[in-house]
Amino acid sequence: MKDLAPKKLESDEEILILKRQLERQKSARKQAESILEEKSYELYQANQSLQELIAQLDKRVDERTQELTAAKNLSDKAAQDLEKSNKRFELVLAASEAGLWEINCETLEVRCSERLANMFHLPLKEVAEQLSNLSIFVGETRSEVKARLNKAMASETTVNLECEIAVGTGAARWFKLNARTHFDTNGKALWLAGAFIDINERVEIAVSAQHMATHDNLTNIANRALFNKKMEEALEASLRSSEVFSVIILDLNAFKEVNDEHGHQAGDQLLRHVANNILSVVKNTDTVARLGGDEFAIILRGIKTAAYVQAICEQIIHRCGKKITCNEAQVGTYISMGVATYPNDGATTSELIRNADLAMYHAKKNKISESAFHVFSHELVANIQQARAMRLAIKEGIEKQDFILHYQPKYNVETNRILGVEALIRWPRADGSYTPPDEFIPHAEEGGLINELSEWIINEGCKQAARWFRQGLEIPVAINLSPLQFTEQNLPDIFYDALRRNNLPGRMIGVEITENCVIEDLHRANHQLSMLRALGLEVSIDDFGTGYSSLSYLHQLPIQVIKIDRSFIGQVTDNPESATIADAIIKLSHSLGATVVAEGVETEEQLAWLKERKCEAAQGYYFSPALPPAKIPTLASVTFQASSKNSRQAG
Amino acid sequence: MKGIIFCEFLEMAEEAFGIVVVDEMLETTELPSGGIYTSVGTYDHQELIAMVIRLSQITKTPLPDLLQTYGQNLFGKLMETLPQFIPQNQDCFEFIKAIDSYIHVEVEKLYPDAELPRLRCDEVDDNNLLLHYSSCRPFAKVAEGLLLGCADYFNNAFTLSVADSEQPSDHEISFQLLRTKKSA
Repeated sequence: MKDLAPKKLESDEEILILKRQLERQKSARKQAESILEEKSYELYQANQSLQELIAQLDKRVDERTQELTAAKNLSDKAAQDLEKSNKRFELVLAASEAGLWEINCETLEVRCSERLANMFHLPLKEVAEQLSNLSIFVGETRSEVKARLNKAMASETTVNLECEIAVGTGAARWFKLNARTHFDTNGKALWLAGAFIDINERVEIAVSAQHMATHDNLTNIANRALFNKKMEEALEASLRSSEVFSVIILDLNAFKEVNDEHGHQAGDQLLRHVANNILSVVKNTDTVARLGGDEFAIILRGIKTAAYVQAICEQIIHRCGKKITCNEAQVGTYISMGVATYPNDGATTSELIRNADLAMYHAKKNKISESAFHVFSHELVANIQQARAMRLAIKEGIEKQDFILHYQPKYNVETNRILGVEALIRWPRADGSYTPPDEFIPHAEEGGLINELSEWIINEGCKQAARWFRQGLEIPVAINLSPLQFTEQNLPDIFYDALRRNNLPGRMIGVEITENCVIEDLHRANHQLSMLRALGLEVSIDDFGTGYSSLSYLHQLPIQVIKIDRSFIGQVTDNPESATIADAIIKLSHSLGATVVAEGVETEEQLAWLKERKCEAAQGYYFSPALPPAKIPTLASVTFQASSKNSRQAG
Repeated sequence: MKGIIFCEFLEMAEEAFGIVVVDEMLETTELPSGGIYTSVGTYDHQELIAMVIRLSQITKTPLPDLLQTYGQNLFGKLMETLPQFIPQNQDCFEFIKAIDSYIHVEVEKLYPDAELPRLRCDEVDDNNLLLHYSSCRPFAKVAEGLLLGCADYFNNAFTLSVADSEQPSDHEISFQLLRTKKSA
């Protein structure tokens, strides 16, 4: 571009060019001034806008400042409220019985309050350590606490459980544990905080209440409710594992007498003695319960052999049989036990208990005056069913008047003349034979039919005596009374009614009672016998020598006749001891003013022996068996002649 | 386009070719503004193009040379005229990289209606810079001249060449800048 040197200008042209340039520059300057003015105006406007903006901003700043001031005031108030609230919270915490703790969910570091350390009787550091590794929780509690805390740290669940803590004193105490986890906005667990409250006293009261609800207050063994529960448990366990278990029902024989004789304190002591001795025999897994009164029950678990159960029963009998000293008296009891074993003896708890009960009653029935146990068997049920059938038959027999009376004569040994008869019940079978009295009398007694039967006998005996009496035959009829019948208050009334109905003097009727009718309550027996004597009835003691043979009561009772039991008479000529006893009985009876009847006389030698000792009367096969009433008048009209056979007759 | 560009162009033309040539150029070019420019005004860039083409015809100088020379001179003028936009104590590459990200940003604040070219930098390494120019106006040669002016300003701190990789045009072009020495 060096070649492009400025052209030389002619002066006119130069002037023209310069003029044009000047014009352009002037125009440019004006344009620039115009632009500047425009820009100045724009600046002015911009400045105005800025001023307005500044004013708005100032206003906004003022408003914002006011807002901030108000917010700050609120914040200050909130802070003050929070501080007050915190102070109140601290006060509440101090006043409350809660001990506080928290776990850092990330580091698992545990912090706890002084109060908690005091509650646990441990240094703070140790509490934190033991809470951290959960070793402070006792036994089964530990795994549950661990599971619940882990769950609470993973979700927004609240831990609320009762746990057992090994406190510093070495004991274990119950606490209520509450805890909840705090999460950040992302759901991350930050810390778990909670409290322990000492609930040991409440738990102990609850446990005590539970114990009282399930245990017998006197003996501290299980009560019926717990026994029933344990029975259900045993049954369920057996259904699961084929385990065999036995239930024993145990009853004290004549416990009432212990209470009556030695007082309730002695009775209570005896019940505790029995409970403790049963406990000493059975295993921890077994259950011993008092069902009420003098009734106990035992559940024996895991039975392997029947012999084991019997051995347990024998041990219980052995230990419970030992007498205890109470109020300076020796107090003891006999016990009866019945055993039923699952599954052979019952499929349900009620069936097992019922069958054990049946077995117990069987044991008691057989051995009232000593301890015994009986193992349930299905034969027992069969026997019971048979007995039930027998009772029904007896009841029906009474209604249909199937029973009859036979009469065994009693002879005056000096005159060989009948001086009276003993009425003996007979129950004819369809084939003409008789059901022996020892086969149905016990059933009548057990079935509560004996009174009805006895009443029939009394009426029938009176009726027969009256028949003879009307024929001019004075044949007194002696009627046997069972102990049960003898204790009936209306017995004299029954006799009175029967005598009156038959228009029969009382001397034509006698009663024969055994020693055990009077031995239990001498006073009552005396009253009853006096009433009967007042009606004119003759009173005989039957089977004397076989029972208590207590001679001391004889003189206290209005007894006219003593009947020596056949077991002595049968041996008076062969056994010196029997002879001595029979001799003593005769002498004693005479000394008391009573006449003597020898029972079961079968030989002439026996009769001779009796005559020699002034025994007034005798009965037995030597003279006559029991006979139908039609045959008695003939015998009564003649003197007895000894037959040549001189031996027992059939019938 | 800002008036400063027109004013500097006329000043350069006058310096190089004299007042007569400039007058002829202005008198013989159809210019809506009438050839009257002030540095604070804004004018259609087509007028500049028309003037450059006319100047090239009058002076018989190749148009690219004219544009490049104009650009080279313009750099120094701009540095003098607008020092407030120039970052101080900068390395030449740092300066070039700052054109798009800083200088043009500041220019736009002053002249919101300015239509500025884009200058994108790819730093191959510390001493090798690829500069991509793009504009709605066909002033690639002016840009080249400006970069040469920049090299002069930084005492020949780098050499400039058109990058091989792309086909240059008046609107878009890439340059390779190789550092020759450290500059500040």
